[in-house]
Amino acid sequence: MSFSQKHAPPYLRAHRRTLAIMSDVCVSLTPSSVAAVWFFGLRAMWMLLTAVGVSFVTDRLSARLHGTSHPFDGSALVTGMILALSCPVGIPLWLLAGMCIVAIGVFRDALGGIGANLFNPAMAARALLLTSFPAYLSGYALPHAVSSATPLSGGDAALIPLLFGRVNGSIGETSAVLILLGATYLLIRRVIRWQIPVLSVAAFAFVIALDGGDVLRHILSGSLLFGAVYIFTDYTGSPTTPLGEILFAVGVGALTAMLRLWGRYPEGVCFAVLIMNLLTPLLDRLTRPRVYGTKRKERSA
Amino acid sequence: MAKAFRGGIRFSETLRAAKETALHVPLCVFTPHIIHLPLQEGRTNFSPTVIDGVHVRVGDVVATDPTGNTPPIHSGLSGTARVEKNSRLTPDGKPCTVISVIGDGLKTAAIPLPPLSNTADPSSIVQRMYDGGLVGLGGAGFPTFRKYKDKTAHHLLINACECEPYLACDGRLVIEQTDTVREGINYLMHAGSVPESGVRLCAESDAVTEGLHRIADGTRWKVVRLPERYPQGSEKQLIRAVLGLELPQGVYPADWGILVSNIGTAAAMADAANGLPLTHRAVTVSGVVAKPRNLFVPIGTPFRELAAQTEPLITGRQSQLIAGGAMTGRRLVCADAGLPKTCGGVLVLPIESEEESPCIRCGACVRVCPSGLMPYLIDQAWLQQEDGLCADLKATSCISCGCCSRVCPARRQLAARITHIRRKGG
Repeated sequence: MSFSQKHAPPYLRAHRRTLAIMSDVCVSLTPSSVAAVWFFGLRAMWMLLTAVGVSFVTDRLSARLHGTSHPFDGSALVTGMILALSCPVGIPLWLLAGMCIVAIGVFRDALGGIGANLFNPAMAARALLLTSFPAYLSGYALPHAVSSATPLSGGDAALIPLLFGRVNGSIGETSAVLILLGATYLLIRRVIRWQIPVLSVAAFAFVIALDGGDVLRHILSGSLLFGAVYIFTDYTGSPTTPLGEILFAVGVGALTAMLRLWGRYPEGVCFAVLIMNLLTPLLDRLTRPRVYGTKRKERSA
Repeated sequence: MAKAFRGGIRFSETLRAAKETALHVPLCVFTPHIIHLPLQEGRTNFSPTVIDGVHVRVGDVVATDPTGNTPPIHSGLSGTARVEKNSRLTPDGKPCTVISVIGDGLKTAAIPLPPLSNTADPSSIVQRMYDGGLVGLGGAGFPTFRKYKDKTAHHLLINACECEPYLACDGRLVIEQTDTVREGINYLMHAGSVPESGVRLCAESDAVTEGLHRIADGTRWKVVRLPERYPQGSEKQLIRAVLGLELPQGVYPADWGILVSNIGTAAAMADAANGLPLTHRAVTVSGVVAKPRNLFVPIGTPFRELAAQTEPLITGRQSQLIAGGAMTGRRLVCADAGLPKTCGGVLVLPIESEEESPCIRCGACVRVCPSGLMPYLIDQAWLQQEDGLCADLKATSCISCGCCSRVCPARRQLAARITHIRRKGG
């Protein structure tokens, strides 16, 4: 081709590359990870180490199999951490490792690699194994808790523990305060923007309120906040246009609430995200910005 | 103030500070020993009007465009002319005929053109634009006489929004050459038959806005202070911000009664009206340097000599020399080439890794694109050679501002590819 891309302008480039963005996400997940070990014991640490380790190895191996020469971009670590943090403490490590392999190897790389994969890899792998091995994904108990019921599966938790994390649930999703701390960091570092987290939670709250549920309790329990900050905001699975983002956020929030209220499983985040991931290309297409000098109607369909 | 145009970038504190520093450095005349004037610019091929070895003076015509579409080239030095065929002394290193003038140190001036009177009619001003070698000095280099010929415009936008990082020479013109610029704007206004109340002077910094107020003093011209945002100085974005209008793709603003000229062009217009053709221009020498300089130099001054007027903080393999701005300029292939009429900057910048990684769909390019494009999708379509999709995504509306490439965390060459698609016509 006649086009040489070498030494083309602009000569000022962003210094924050993909690896730095992914590192920021890992940093923002640290408080929740530390709290997971604090509340759920050493086993939570083994879960995190297993997930991150297996994800890293899968990432490198898969890069080699696919013949890509790109340096490590850190996204596998994020996927690994999110997977570990969104699982209950009772999950067997082999199953968690399997989820990481499926997430990175299949749902991310086999579907086109970072940026091109359709689904959020962590959620797709979780959904696949949640439906394949339902029994292993329900051991939500705190080691010293009397009841193993989570707030969503009928357990009754007071609001204060929901805020700080001393409840049964996925190991990284129990403390609303720490998740919001991570979100603040990501917002300050401009890794995420406020639209998706805020609007998705708002849409979620709206649907819960319509149904007459306890809005605050619903928002603080389960994986809604974790999802709103770390999963709904996934670049690959969410639209890139400003309007598309808004529609996506509203859709995913409302779907989460509906699945939680009327679905077969206690939580709705996972399937809501997958459904909206599928709609993302369409949303991107329908909400293309208006091109300078054209009217909205002229925008090619 | 509301954001006047879509997208764009507000540069970091460091970059804005570098510009502010340069804005306080007075213009300084610099005369090199030699100048190089390439006879090929874009699709225009000039023919030399001098022969090898002849003596020329400052202001003598050395080459003309036989088609008459582009104004002639004048020498900025007095001395011996050399005509060299297939010379590689061009900014991009592509061979063409180059006229070099080896200075005799005397600065002998050619007989000036007869000065225009203040009441000159539009057609004689337009003729003077041609004779004076005027092209748009903002960057695109569109021949000024063609822009103003037979136009009855309702607005004249004088562009002093120097939105490129580091560059400040236009700002210095506003601050230092108040009377010249005022005179030039007067001629431009008459040439385009623009009513006095239709003139807008636009800037995006305090010091320059203040200068524009002094220029507009005693006239009905309006000074417009715009937010500091790249690419505010782009013609389309400027029209959007000042007049609230968006022109359809492929339309010249002049055909819609809007004339836009750079402040440097206005200054050059005044000189041409007084009989002095375009032989010199202001240029900022900056980048990663100890102290930026604003120089007033003959067109054709070797870039290497300009760069030597400041002290680079990086050298050798780490550094590169850029002709023009950091966002839209070009890396010099031949540092000994001469400064073109349209080039307002010489920058010493560090070489950054150009290794691309996969797009992560962060959407930053979509948010910054002032044309409302989806750069990452065009990039994808181009790599898959889907020409139809590129057209569907309106790749031809790109203004090559470089915002998308600037923000991309995967360092994708978005702007370069889209520009390539646009040039080959969608």
